[in-house]
Amino acid sequence: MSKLRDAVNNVDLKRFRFWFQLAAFVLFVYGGYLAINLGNSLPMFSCGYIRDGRAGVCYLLPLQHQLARPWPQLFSYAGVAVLTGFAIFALWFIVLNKGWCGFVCPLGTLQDWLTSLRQKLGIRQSGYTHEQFRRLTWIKYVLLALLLLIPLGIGGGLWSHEVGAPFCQICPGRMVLPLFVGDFSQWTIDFSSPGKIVLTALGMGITGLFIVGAFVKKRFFCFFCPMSALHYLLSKPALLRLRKDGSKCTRCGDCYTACDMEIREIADDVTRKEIMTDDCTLCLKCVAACPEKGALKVDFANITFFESTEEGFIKRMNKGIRK
Amino acid sequence: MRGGGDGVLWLSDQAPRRDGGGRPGGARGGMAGMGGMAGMDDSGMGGAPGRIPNKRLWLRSGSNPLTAGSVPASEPVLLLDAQQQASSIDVEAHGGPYNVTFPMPEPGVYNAYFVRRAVDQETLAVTVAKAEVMRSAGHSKVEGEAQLMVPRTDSRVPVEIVRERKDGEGLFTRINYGDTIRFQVLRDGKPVQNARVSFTSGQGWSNSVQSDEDGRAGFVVIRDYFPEWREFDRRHRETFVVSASFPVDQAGEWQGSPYHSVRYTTTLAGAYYPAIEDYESYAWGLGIAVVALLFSGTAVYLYRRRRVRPYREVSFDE
Amino acid sequence: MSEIREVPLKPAFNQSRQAREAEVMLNHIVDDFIDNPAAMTYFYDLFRHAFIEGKALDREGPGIGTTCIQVPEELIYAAGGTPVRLCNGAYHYDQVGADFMPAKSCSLVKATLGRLHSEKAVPDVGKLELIVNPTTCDQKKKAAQMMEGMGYQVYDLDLPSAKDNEAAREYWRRVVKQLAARLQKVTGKKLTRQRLREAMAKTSRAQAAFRTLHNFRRKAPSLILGKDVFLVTNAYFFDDIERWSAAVEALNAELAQREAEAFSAVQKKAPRIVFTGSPPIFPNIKLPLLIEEAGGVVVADETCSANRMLYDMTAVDEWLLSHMIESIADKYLKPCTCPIFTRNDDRIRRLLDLVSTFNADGVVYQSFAGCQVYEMEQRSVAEALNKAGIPMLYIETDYSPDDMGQLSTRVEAFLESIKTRKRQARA
Repeated sequence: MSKLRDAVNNVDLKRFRFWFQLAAFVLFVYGGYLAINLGNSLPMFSCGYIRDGRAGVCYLLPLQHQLARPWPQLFSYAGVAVLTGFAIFALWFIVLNKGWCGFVCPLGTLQDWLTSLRQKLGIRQSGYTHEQFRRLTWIKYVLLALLLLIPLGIGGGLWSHEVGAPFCQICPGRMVLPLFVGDFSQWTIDFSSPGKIVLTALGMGITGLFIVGAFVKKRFFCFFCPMSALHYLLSKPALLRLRKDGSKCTRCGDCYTACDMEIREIADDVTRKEIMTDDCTLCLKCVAACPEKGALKVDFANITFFESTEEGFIKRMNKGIRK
Repeated sequence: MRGGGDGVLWLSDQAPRRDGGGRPGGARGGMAGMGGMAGMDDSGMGGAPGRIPNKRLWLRSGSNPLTAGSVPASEPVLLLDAQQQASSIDVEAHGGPYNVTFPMPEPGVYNAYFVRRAVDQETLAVTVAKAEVMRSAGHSKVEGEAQLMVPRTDSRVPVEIVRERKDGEGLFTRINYGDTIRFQVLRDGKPVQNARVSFTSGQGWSNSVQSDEDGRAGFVVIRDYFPEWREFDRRHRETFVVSASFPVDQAGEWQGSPYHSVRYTTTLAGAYYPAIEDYESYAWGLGIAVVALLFSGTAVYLYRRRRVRPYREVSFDE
Repeated sequence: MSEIREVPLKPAFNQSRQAREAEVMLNHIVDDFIDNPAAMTYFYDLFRHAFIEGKALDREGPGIGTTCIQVPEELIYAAGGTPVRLCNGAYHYDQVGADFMPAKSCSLVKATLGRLHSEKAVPDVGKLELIVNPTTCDQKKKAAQMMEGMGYQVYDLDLPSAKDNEAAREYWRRVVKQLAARLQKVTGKKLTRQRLREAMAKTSRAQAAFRTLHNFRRKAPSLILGKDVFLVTNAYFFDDIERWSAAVEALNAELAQREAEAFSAVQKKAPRIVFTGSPPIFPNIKLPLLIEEAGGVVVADETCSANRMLYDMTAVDEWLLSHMIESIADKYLKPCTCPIFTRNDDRIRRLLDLVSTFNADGVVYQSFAGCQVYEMEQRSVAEALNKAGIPMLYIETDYSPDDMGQLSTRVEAFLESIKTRKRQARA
C-alpha cells in the first residue's frame, strides 16, 4: 500500500497528464464515431458543434437553448428539463470538480498543446501583472451572467432568437474543435441578421485572439471561461479537492511558478485549507512542483491519493534538468 | 413559365390562405427535406414531456403554391408510418376544406397518400397526391437514421413520385437553393419513361422535363427569395410542388363506367430554404480571424519589445 | 662544509593565529566526541587543509565571491564561474576587520572584511573576479564600498526589503536578470539553456543530498550531531560543489546504515534543540558545540549558514532561460527567512514547523552583538514560541572566546530546565 502511494506521489505528472488529456481529447472529439454518447450535460467544452465525432455535449449549449424557451413554458414544464439538465451537470461536475478543466476539457488540452509548441520553438511565455490579473478575473463571471440572461431575455420576448446560444457564438471552441473532424463550416460570418453578424464576427475575432493568446500565455482562455465560473459556484460539495497545509509551506513559490493560471494564492496563502480558487483548473501541477511533504494534497472524498513529497519533487525536477 | 390554376391536387402541410393561396414562406412545416424540429409541435430537446406531435395535411388544388386553394374531398388518406405500418386516416372536414391529422410518435419518415380515381370522357384519371413528412429528434442523431431515410413505396399506391435523397441526408437535412433534387416516377413499382414532370417553386416558377428511361427527372432548386436585407430570414421556407403525369393506353371499367385510356397524375410537395452560402461568408470569417490574429500577435510582440525599456511602469496624470 | 638551514622569514602558516584558532575549534569538534561518522573525515580533512595548513583550494573558473545566500549560484556556475561564500567566522579576522566598522557591529561582517583585507587569507580560494554583495542588512550594504576600497570589483545585488508584494517579486526578477548579464561579462561565457540546466543540476544534487541529511536528523535519538552538520554546510561555502555533494552522499549512506543498526549518537534523553539566528560559521561553532558538549543535540537549524542556504529548491515549469531565471530568482527571495525583511511571519512559521517535525524540545537563538535585525526579531520569535509552549534561550554573543564560560553555564541551565520539564510532563 505504501509502495503504491509512493509510486503515485512520484508520478511524472507531466507525462501522465499528456496521455490522459490525449485520451480524453480523442474520446470527446472522436468518440461519437464509436457511438459513445455521454449526454448533453458535460461540465467542459466537449463542443456540440463537432457534429458526428463528439461523445457528449458541453452543458452550456443545451443550457442556453433551454433558457431561451418562452417564459410560460420555462416556468412550467420546460423548467423541469432545465432542472434535470442542471442536476446531471452537477453530478458530473461533483466527481472531478475542476479536474474537468485540467484533465478532460478538449479546449484546455488544445491550449496545453499550443504551449508545448511554443516551448519547442523557444519562445518565452507571457503573464499578467498582479493588477491585470485582479481586473481580468471578473470577466468570466460577466460572461456567465450574460450567457444566462440573454437567453432568458429571448424567452421573454425582449430580443430575437437570432442571438440564441450567445456564448457558443463567441466561444473559440465552436470554431477550433470541429476542425479536428475536418469540419470548417463554423468559420463563417452569418449575415442573416445584425445580431448574428455581431456574434459571429466577435466569435471569429476571439478565435484569432485565442490562437495568439493560447500560444503566448498558458491556458489563456480558461481565465475567461464562464464554465470555470459556473464550476466555482458549485465547487463546495465536489469530491476531488485541492488542499493546503499552510504550516508546512515555505512560500517558496514553486507551485506558483508551475501554475498555468498564475494563481498567487497557491504559494502565498498559508491560512486557507481549501486552496482551489475560481481560476484553478485542478491540473495538479502545483502539487507536483511542491517540495514540502504534505503541504499540498489532492483528496477524493476526503481520502488523500496524491500529495506533494520531497522525493517526488526531486525525481520530477531531475527529469526536467536532464532532459 | 408560371404554374397556373390547373387543378393539380397535392398534399400540403400549409393551410391554404382564405384568398386561395398558401402562406408564402415564413411558416414552418415538416415536409420532406425541411429538416429539423421546426414545425413539429414540440419535438426533441426540451419538448413538453410525453406529448406526441401531430401533423395536419391539407389537400390543395393548383400547382402554384402561391395560389393553390383548398378543395373538398372525402377519400381517406393512406398513411405509412416510420415503422412502415399502414393505416387509413379519415378526412376531418367533411365537405369543407380537406384535411387529415395523424400522430407521429417516433422519429422517422411518414408517407401519406391521397388517391382518387374518376372516369371522364372515357378516360380514367388516376390522381395520387403524396406527402413525405419527417420527424427528427431535435438536433440529436436518431439511431439507424440512414435506414429510416431510405425512400419507401407502397404497392397499394398505383403511381408515385419518389424523391431521391441527398448525400448523407438525415431527418434534419434541408433542401437549399442551388441544390439539384432528383425524382423518380414509378407506376406499380416500375419506372415510367417519358412522363411529363413539372417542378413549381414557391413563387410559382415552373419547369417541365420528360423522365428518362429510369423514370428519373432532376431540377435545380432556384433561389426565388429576394427580400430586403433587414427582412432576410435564414429559416425562410418555400414550398415546391412536383407533379408527373402520363397517359397509358389501357381499356377497362371503373365503377360501371368504361374507359379506353388512363391518365395518371401524381404529385409530391416539399420545402426548401436559403442555402448557407446565401447568408454566411467564409471569407469574412477567415478574414476577421486572421486580422484578430495578426493584430494581437503584433500587439504581443510590440508589447514585449517595449517592455525591454525599464523604469517605465509608472506614469502620472499631469 | 656545514649545512646552513634556511630560516623562513615568516613562521609557517600553521603557526599563525588564525590557524591556531581553527585548530583549537576543529580539535574540539573532532576529539571531544566519540563515534564521529567515518564519512566526516572528508570534512575534517578539508577544514584542516584549508584553515590549518592554509592550502589553496582548487576551484574551476573565475571566482565569484558572495556575501549572502541570496546570490543565485546557479547563474554563476552557468556563466562558468565558481561561487565562494565569503562570510567568515574567524575571531582573528573579526579583529582585523574592526578597523573598518564601528565597535558595536556584527562580528560576521567585520570578519568578512578582515579576511578580504588580509594577505594569504584562509580559506584560500584564489583570485576573486567579482564580489556580489546583496543589499541585506545595513552593515553588509556599507561593506560594499569598503571592499571596493580594498581593490575588489563589487556588484550590489539590490534585494528588496519587503518580499511579500508583487512589485518586489518583479523587481527582484529584474535584478537577477541584470546579474546574469553582468556575470556573462565577467566570465566571457554566454548563458545558455544547456549551461543553466547543468548548473541547476549541480545545485539540485547538492540540495537533494542536504535534504536527505536534514531528514536523517528527524530521527530520535539522533544519528548525527549538529556540530558535524554545521561543518558540512560550512564546507559548502568554498568546497567544490560536486565533491561536496559526493561527500554528503557518502555521509548519508553511513547514516542510513546507522539507522539500520539503531545506532544512537546521543543519550536517549538528550534535549533536542533547534538552532536559529546568527549563523555559526567555522571556526565560530562555539555555541552549537557548547550545546552538544552539555548533553544536548542540535537537530535542526534555521540559519543562513545551513538550512536557509540549502533547503529551498527550485521548480521549473518551462525549460526556457527566461522562465528558469525567474524561477531561480523566486527561490532566492520568496522563501527566504532572513531577518532583514520587513516581516518575519515566514521565519516564525518555519521555526514552529521545525520544532514540531523534528520533535525538538527547545530553541536556541543566537544573535551576534551588533546584528540589529536578529536582535530586533528576538522579541517576536520569543513571543510566538512562548505561545506554542516552546522554551527558548536567547544568547547575544560575538566571535571572542571570552564568554565561553558564562555561555556554557547558561546553556547547561537551559538544557537542565528542558530535562526537568520533560520529566514533569511524563510524570
